[in-house]
Amino acid sequence: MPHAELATGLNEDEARTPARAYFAAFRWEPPLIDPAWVTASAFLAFLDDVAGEGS
Amino acid sequence: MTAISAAAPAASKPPVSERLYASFDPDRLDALGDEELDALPFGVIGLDADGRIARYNMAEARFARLDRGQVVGRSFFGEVARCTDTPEFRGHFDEVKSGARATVRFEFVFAFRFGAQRVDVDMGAVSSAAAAPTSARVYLCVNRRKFLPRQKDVPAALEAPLITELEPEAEAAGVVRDDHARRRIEVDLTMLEALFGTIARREKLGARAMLRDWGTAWGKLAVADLETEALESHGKSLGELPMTSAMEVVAGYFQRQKLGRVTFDYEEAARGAIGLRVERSAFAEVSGEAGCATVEGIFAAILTHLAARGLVVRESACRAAGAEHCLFVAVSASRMAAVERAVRGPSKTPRAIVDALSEEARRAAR
Repeated sequence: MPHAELATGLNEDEARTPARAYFAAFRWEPPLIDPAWVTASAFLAFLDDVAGEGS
Repeated sequence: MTAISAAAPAASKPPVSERLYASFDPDRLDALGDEELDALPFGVIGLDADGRIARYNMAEARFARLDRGQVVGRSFFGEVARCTDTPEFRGHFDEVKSGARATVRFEFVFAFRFGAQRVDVDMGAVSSAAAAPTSARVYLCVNRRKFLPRQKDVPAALEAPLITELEPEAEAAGVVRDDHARRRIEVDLTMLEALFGTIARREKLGARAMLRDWGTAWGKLAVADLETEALESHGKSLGELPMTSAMEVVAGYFQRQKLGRVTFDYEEAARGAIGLRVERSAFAEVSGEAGCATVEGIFAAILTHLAARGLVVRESACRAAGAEHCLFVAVSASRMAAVERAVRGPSKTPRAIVDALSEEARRAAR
């Protein structure tokens, strides 16, 4: 299932950098981040990314 | 829920020592105090010119299941890590010690009686100009890659000894160690209560800050435990596990210490926050709200290690103040001032905290 989501243009490396690239690509809908799939490193780095974007 | 996969082979990532330091620098390691070395999540070993262990950090002790007090002063190649007494490993040591090479990185398999460990080793000599602080001349950074079964082809005499072999008299002296060779003591909560009471009396206003610092130091030491457990149980570093699995490991650690039951709330992740709930927190029960600053520090240190970014944790509801459970929120360190304003006053849920953060950001943008 997760790899199917990557068919939208993100290669695996980009998806591993993950949160920022991923959510940039899916900006048209409120981002949902699934803790069962996203690595802990990426998930937690995303908290910082969101703060950096001034949400 | 939309999902991405972030699974990747561990080998594609640089060693953790490289991620923390732009380049491996023995002089810089030599300048660090023992407490600073202990806060590093990878093994650090300092050897003197004869190959005797001069420095040995907490992470290495944890991974090797040895006690620093028992290994410092012993021969690394002859007593503590006999499997390294090979032409290759010794050759690297001689090369960097003589200055023939500044630093070298190589893969190696450490043979322990409890199992083998595939590691990356960064090795380098302290430059003579900087060699004053300690007697260590050569430093090794040891990055664990994978835990493997015990190697049957390695003779027992070449395996690293167990701690019980290094201190055969300890048990008779009343020393008790856990499965990972750490010395255990057992104290009841009243001792913790006395500690918190002392701190609060001495430094009324700064008690939270002081206890949070203690928690941060605690959390940094816990990282080596957590990374070990992740490698043992999942074959990956903690950060490479899915968030939920990684947090199960973290919650397990907290519960094994009998500190309370921890669960995580990811509902506000898209807005840059996660919630933590601690049921029956031992800290809240013995100390009032200030003690929960220790929990803030513990989790902040662990989450910051995983994110490789600064994250802070603040309590938004406390059992000591009448809430059913202690609730905490973890956010980017860049939001520290805002989250501290948001958690003031009566108990709040993580969602309410994030609402307040968003509102404040909107006002600031206007």
